[in-house]
Amino acid sequence: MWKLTEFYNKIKAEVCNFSLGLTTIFMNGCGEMMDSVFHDLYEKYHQEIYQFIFYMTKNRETAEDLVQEVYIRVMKAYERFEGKSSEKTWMYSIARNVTIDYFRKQKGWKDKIFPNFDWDRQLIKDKEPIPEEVAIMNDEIQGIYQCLNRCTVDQRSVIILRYIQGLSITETAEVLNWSESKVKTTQHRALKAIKKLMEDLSGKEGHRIEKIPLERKRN
Amino acid sequence: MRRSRWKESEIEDMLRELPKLKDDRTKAEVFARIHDKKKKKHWMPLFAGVASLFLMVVLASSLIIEKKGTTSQEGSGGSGKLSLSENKEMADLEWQDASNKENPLEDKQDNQEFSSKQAEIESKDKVSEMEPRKGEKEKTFAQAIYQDDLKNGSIITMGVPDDQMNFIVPISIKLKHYDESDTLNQLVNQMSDIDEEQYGLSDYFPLDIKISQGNDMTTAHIDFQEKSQLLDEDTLFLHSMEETLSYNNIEKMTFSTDGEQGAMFAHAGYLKEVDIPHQKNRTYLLYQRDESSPRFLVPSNMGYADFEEALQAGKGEADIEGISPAIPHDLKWERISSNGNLVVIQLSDQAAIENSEESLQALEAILFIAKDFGFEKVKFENAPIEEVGQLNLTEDILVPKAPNQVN
Repeated sequence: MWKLTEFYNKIKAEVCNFSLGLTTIFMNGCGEMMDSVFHDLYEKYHQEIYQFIFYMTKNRETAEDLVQEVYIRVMKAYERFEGKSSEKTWMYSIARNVTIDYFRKQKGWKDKIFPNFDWDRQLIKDKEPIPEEVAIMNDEIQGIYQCLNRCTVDQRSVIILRYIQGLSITETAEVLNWSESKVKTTQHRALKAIKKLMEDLSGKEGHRIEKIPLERKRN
Repeated sequence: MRRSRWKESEIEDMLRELPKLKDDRTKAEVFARIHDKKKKKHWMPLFAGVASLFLMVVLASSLIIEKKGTTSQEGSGGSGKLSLSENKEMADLEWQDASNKENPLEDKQDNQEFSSKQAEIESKDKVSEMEPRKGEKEKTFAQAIYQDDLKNGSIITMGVPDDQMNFIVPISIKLKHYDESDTLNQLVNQMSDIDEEQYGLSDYFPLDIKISQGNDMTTAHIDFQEKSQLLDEDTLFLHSMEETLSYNNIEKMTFSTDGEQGAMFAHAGYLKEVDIPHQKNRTYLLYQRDESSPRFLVPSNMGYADFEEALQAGKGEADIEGISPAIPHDLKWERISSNGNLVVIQLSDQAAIENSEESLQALEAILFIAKDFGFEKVKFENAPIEEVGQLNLTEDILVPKAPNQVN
């Protein structure tokens, strides 16, 4: 008898799975209204969101893929958007979630195989090439760019949102769904961390990104 | 001199100076790629759906095939029936002709090889002979057989080694009433029919021996072939036969080898006869190979000095796979006294007894321990309930005839 019950349960689970799959298809499929939503959002936020994801991931292709994923998620959830937060911070928070999901997937297999091995420590040099826009800047800016992904994901998020994207403390808090004071303390810690990283970097690489006080030059 | 110190405000400024980055793709390009991606994504759930459907079909078809398999077997069972009853007649003839020096068991075994494949069908054919147990399909719990159960039936009990051959598990098969003089004959029949493995026991029977009646009704005579393997594995064999015959009113077994008196056992030495003790002062434990096998009461291999000690040992954990205590720890007693063939167990106030299979089996374990110490009746005093299964706790309870009914 148990065999039959088990079989019945199995079928039930399969049917549920199957219908779940169908729902996804139908949800993605209802099109034209969504097209106009896309055009609207693209005009307003595309470059901003792209830049945010780029600075988070530091890879052009990844950023392109992820920004697409943001649109897909936005369209799925658009009806559920309650207007509690602004459209902009909502877009940002989806972008951040997409990015974090991407990091998790990236981490996945390595950490599964060698859970105790600290991969990050091995990556002293950035694997990703520095983008042209950064490469033409001075050494200090390049140094800052390199230090960005040496701090934690939370710190990085706050730094990018606050200084590169130019969001206010309140907006940043909304994006991250944090309190404003948490944003402030994280921002403070992030700046400290970057300062330390910059100092380490200048110690290692010597004059390349050291800061020579102007007064000294005058003397 | 180098100075590599920055103020936090300078770091903030540098961060603000980081260049603006742009997605070089056009809106149409992005839009197209989102559509592509969405389409790609459709395939995954669809594929999963199709794959699960396929799995369902495979699973379902295997179930259907399984069913068909059993029905077709049943069909062939019909034709097997004829030859089977022929076998039996032949075997019976040979049994009656006891002076005949041929080995009927061997013949029977040969035939049995064919018929054992149809063990299930066979047991269905035997419905006429066997007393089916009332409305119970799940055989998780093997109950004892009492005197009352034998008003219009008889039992055969066999001692079968457990899966690991650590213990001898007595299992009982209830049959339609037969004359007591026919006991050994019935025993041999059941030995060749039993499918021990379905009960989570070792496949031990049938044995390569001839069993016949000895000089009197209470003696069984066993004839070995020379170089029989059983003579080498004599400990298990003697243990199993003692257990088996003790339930079937036999008090002594005598041996011969190829017709010559006596048998040379590898460990027990040369023996002409062995008495079968009916009281071994043992305790009883539970044996269950796995969850799909029934729970059996199994007597311990060692004896105990007195009844109470044996009862206490029934609560003990034996560190052997499949063996667990038969009496739960919370079944406590205050005092035990005996009067002739009656033993009185004064239960303590907190003794946990309920009308459940577990309690029934625990009480039956106590009854069998009492039986092993030669008592015939047990009285439970201060029991929290009046009845457990068919046991009436308000009266003296007659110890059961045999444990572990499997049919």
